[in-house]
Amino acid sequence: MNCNYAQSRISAYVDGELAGGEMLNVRAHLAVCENCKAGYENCLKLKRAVSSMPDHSPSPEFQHRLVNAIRRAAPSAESEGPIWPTWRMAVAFAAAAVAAFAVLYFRSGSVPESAVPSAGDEIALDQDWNTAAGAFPANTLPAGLEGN
Amino acid sequence: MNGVLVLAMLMHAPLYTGGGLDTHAQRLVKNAIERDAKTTYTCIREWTEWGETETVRVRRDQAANGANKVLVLAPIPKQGFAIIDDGQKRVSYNPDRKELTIQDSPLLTQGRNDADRRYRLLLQNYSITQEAEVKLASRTAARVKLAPRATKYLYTRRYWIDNSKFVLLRVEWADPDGKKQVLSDTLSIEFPKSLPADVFEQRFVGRPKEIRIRAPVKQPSLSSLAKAVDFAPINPVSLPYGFLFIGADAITRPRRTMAALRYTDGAANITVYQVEAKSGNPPWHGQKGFASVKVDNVWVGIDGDVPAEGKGSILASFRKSGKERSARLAAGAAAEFNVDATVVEALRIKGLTIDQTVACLVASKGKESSAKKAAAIVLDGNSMANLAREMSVKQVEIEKGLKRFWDRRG
Repeated sequence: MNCNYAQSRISAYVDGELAGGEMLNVRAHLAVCENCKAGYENCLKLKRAVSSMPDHSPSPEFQHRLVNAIRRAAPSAESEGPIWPTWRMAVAFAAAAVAAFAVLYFRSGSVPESAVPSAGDEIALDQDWNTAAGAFPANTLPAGLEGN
Repeated sequence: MNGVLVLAMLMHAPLYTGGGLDTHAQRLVKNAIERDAKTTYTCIREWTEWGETETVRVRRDQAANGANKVLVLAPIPKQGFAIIDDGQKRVSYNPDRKELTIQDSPLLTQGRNDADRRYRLLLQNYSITQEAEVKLASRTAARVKLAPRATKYLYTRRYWIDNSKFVLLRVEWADPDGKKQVLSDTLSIEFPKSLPADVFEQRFVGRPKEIRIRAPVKQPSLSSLAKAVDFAPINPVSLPYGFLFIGADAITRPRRTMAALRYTDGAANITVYQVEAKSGNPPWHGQKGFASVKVDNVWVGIDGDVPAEGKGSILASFRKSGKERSARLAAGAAAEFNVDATVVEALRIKGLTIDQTVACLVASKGKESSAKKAAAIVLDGNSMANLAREMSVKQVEIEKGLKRFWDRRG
């Protein structure tokens, strides 16, 4: 395995998405390549940092401030000189970053209030559990993945 | 179906193999039952639910001790779902809900003799033949057909069994009308000597909410199940198609307590859920694939890999197994064999039907200790021929005893 290939697989390796054989190959490469190992550790740190970030709820004024910031950053039709002066660019990027973060944050949906399974889930949980105890569990769709 | 007929079918089952015994195919299936869940591999596989068209593509890793991990790759709405069972805990991750559901691993409760029992039942209830040898996922596989004796009520199954590793590479069912569907299809598979230890590590993005669920609690008898769920579960008088009781669980959830009686015919598995019917609908009301009926004060619902026709017929057996009839037949069995009612009760709480109880009483000539031995033989998935041989009685005696009982008491 060469470094290019290993580095293209590091993110999937950290997420545990590689098949067993490929995972072993990447792991073997990381054991002998300092450069790729450093890349792996950086990727690990980044994912840990992101996953340990606290969940913040935006204040009610968040959307208002965000819209205002974007409006302030937008060029006026009659402006002269460079279309994107440096300071405007910085504000626009900041606003875009906030928006992107907001999108990333809200994409996953809110955490449900209740930690008690519904009546339907009670049966599905048992179906899944019982299937996994059967003769050919590897060939049966787990109950939690059925339906749409 | 009359219990005598069912037992007569079981008794002669080894003879119903059409064009003779295909011992090679039988050995393949036996190996698959023993090794499919105990072989180290990593694969990409597609699953489809019976009657559906949507396919779920997963990566599945499995270790030789049965520990396994499933990661959903597609479709997009289900991508990232994961199930990790390290042999101690089973953790299901739902990325949409940001939830981790954690319960004890079902691997902790697997019986040692389960594979042998399933195989014995398969030989009695299915005709097993090898149809072809094919290439699949770059492997050589034998295509084996399992045709049920009860063709109108059960699925015919085809297994593509890896010739050297005995892992199922593809599974197809056909219903009694001949409609076929592939339910599991392996696209690629590798058999490394071992898997990296971190395959089973639980690493999830963010901080998912943890829901800890008490795993179903295995009950040693139906009397202990009754105590655990606080009502007397319905134990059928007879069961069609060679289904055998293999265990009972008490499922304790925050909202209610359910009894789950598990049965298998070797290939098909059914769970008969039971809850005390206080009011309203059963908890599985509206769930796809469920058939249910109210017997005395108990809701009985059947779920499992059996066509609707089969479920209806099994449900009918439970409908005819109300408390009054069960008590009358149990008393009749005690009187017929001149044994104390407690002897019959001791057999019934092991999960035996009245049919099986009577067969055990005939085989043991009414002796309590011998009757318990006979019960163990039956619950191990043995045919009536084996029961007769082990108990040193003639098979025809058991047959006659059963017929006499049903003629007088049925």
